[in-house]
Amino acid sequence: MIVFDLEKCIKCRKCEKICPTLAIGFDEFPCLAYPEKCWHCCACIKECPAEAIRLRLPPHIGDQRYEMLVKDEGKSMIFQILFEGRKIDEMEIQVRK
Amino acid sequence: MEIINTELAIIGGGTAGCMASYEAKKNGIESLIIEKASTRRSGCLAPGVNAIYSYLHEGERPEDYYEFVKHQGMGLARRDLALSLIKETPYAVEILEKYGLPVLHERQGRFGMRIYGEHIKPILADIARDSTENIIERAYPFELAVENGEVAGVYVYDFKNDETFFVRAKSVLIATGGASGLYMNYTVPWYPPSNAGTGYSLAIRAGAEIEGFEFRFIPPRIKDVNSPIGVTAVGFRASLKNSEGQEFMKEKFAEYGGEGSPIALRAFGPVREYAEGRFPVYIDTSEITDEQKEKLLKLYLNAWPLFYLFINARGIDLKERLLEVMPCEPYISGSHSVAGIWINQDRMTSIKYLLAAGDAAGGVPLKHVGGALAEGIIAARTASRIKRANDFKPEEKIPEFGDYSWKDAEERMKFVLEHYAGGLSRYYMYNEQSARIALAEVNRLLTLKFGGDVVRCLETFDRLVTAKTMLHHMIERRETRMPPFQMRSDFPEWSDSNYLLVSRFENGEIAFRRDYT
Repeated sequence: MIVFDLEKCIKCRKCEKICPTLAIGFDEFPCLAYPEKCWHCCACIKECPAEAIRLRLPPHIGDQRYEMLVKDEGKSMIFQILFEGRKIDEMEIQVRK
Repeated sequence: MEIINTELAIIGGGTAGCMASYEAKKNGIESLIIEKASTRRSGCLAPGVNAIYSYLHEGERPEDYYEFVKHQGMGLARRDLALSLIKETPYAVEILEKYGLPVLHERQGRFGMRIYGEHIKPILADIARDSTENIIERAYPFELAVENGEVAGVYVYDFKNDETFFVRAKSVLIATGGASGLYMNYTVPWYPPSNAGTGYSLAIRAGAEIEGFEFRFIPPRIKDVNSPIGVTAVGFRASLKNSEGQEFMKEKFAEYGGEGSPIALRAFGPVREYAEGRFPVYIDTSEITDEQKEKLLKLYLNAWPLFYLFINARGIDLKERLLEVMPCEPYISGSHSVAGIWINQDRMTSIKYLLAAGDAAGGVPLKHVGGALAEGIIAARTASRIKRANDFKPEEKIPEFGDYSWKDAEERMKFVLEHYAGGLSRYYMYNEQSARIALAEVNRLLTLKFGGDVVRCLETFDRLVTAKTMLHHMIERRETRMPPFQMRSDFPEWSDSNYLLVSRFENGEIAFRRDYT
């Protein structure tokens, strides 16, 4: 599942536009309008300019206190694992030459 | 109604569609892309990908690739299509590399080229933007216009502005991907929920021939998280084990190639271990080195980042604790099975000037991303050779909606297919009687007019049309030919017949022919 941090959200609606399955709606703030259509692909998380969206496992799979955040650094992406909001691990990958 | 004229109308801005626009421009024709979401992150490549399969490495011949896919399809693969696509993949990868895709120039399996493909879709979108000014996003193609056996264009519903327009083209390319969301899913789907079988539905309703729809694709995946397994199994040679520690693929499927068995049997092996109680089933990664572990995680971040969260939240160290493996729900997809729209070597369907490429097109098992890129290229070249006048006058058309909740219809369809048409809970088995129950219910749902979010209504209808054709194919094939993709309890003996079923709807009736391979 994706979760929105409404305090960080700048209401740019980029997540709504980018979602490949059209699962994200917008009513004053973005929301996951169709949770069953979320592919967990992270497109919205990668594209959010405010780092306001995080990924959680669906509840039947595992611990909800862990979250993932992605930072787009241009030619690389940084994936961070958070536990109760604190960073516990990160990995960087090159995405463009 | 507004009419937009173009030379090549591309339905779907995914892997095949973006590449087709590039090759169309290169060959001097104008193209237009119709995309339901945003081309930057739409389709199968939204999360990324870590290898381009169907890549011909130096020293290998196209004929070797054909032998490989024939093995993967348990004897069922179209030679003409395999030989023509494999020649184009290195060219496609060269273009992607030129646009900035990090290509590792390392083999992954026999016909795989390892890449860091997290950004492959934004790169493909850049390629499309450089190739055409006409990318229409948030629009849903809902009907093809066919006159005298020739396609004239496509009716499109613009759901931003709630209006219909018509794209008139010299040729139309179906590059929509396959069908996800037909069956109930026990966890996150492997194949994108955006892929509603729209291309199949358009082609079926227009009377185009459909091939191999009885062969669903059932992927063996990392259990719960549905991550790709190929990178671990093929790339790092990890083997499958049951709860008793037995390497069941090596021992029970030696005659089919053990761990290198055809893709269907790599799903069937674990299915049988589950059915007979020897679960959990594992993929053994305990032998990998620290360096390999780091690389494996990076490859997963490039293709399915949810995996990284999964191993952290579940406390899994790949060297200490084995990953579980389980197949998920069935899909219809031309990238991993032979199911799809019938095409000839030029990627033209049985309807003149209607082309198909990628997951929408059938005939080659395990075509993957490389095959989709290659087929987009081949289809665009065919389009560039078409010289025709098209002065088709479209009618005023709008999609029909009603008040039956699309969501209720979708749930009923998934439930019925799950229980009667070989879903996971039936270990993928079906028989004539059960498939007929599913077909009757799908036909009943197709008489309803759906209401609610218009995109979801259109998607539900397209899924039902796809399911109907799939069920007809499943009934028509009176044998078990490729377990668990196609596996019947009323004909349990494994057959090695050498034909693909090709169907076509005419005046509401389905007719079949057999294509011998």
